[in-house]
Amino acid sequence: MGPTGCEYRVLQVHPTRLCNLRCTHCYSSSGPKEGDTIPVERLKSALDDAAAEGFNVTGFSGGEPLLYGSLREALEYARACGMATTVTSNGMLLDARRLEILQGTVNLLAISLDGVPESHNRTRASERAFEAMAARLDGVRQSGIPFGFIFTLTQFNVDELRWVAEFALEQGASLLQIHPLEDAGRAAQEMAGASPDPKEAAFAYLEAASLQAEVNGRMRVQLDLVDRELVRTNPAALFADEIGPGADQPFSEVMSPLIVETDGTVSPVRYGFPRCYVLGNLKEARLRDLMSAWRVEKLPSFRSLCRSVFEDVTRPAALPFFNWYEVLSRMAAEDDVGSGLVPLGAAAA
Amino acid sequence: MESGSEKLIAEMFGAAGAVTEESLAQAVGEVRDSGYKITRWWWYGQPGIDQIQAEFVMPVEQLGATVNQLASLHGEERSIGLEVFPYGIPVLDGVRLAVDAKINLKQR
Repeated sequence: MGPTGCEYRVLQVHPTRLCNLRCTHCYSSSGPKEGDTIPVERLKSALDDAAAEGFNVTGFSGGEPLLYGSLREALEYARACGMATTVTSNGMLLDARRLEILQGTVNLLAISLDGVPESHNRTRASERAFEAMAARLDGVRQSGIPFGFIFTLTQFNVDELRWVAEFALEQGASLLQIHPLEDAGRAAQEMAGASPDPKEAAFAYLEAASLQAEVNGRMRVQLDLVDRELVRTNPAALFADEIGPGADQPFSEVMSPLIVETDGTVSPVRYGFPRCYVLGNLKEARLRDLMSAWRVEKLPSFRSLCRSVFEDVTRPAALPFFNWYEVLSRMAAEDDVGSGLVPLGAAAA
Repeated sequence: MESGSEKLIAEMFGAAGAVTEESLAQAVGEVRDSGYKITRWWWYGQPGIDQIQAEFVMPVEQLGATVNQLASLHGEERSIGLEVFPYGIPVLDGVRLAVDAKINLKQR
């Protein structure tokens, strides 16, 4: 089943690492000098194979996906494959032309918002990031494209969450999503030690619950942390059920999310996942072939890893919340030690 | 550097405020029992798309175009519910438009 549940089977695509910003917390180390992109024909072939295996959501992130020249073509293709689509953007480039690209092709536009304007600008390493993003929101509203905000939770900013929620509500957002900072890519160097600890995570949970009650259904507040109390009885949510998927089950039930990185690498679960677990590279084989081979060659060791993680995280602890992606990646990285393979986070550097 | 929770506690209770791990765990348990549960967790950069709800406050003259745009999104793939609340008596000076969109994912 996995972390996105039975219903949502997610393919996340990083079509480019080119970005107009160079954010301090970027897990893919994207920026203005990162010009690599995925050729759209290769991407379309991957979308075909993903849809055939039951993936029903494609998320485009980056880099700044609005800078991917073939974005509309890729979005239209994903939709033609029967998939819902999302785009995650820093929002600064959402002018009328780009909104037109997204109209009718995107189910949800997610805009990054990292706190009060001063914090947002500091994280984004730009003095005008907030102002430029906020100036685009009228146009976004008028376009009718459903949109939400994504907030990166750190050790130091849970106190800004309420301001962020009020801003999001004022703007007419449908979603406020709270992700914990990931200790990967540029964040591992420039924001080391800033991932939220269990106490900050617990405060974030209390704030999120309080905000959800206050907004009274006008906006959804989603917190991307795992509650160990709730997963103890549901190991399948962490790919840790004893039985596991059958040979005839579609790959989307075996692994979701599945990540297509800009260089063509296909990773399970998250960008930059330790290389000993990746499916392979789209430059060398079609996605359907990579999925078939991975199921035979690597799925058993991946599930064994997930069982170890499950046993580790379901031990009694004073505070229940943790970042499953981070724990899984850390334990998977231990498998990379001595293998000579690329360690976590280095793939994007 | 102060943590976010330290700043939050200072805002709520002043400098003397403190929260123990036990009291925090108890508060979490109570909130969980009251119904706010995390059942899915998405990787960074992936927005959750279960259900989309939004409210817009706008001038009356903008309502028609906005409703038309949203209505055009309604179809097999997505159902859109709209509710309009007028503001201003006796002359309308604005409207609140509530949007409730559900994505109908293909069942495979």
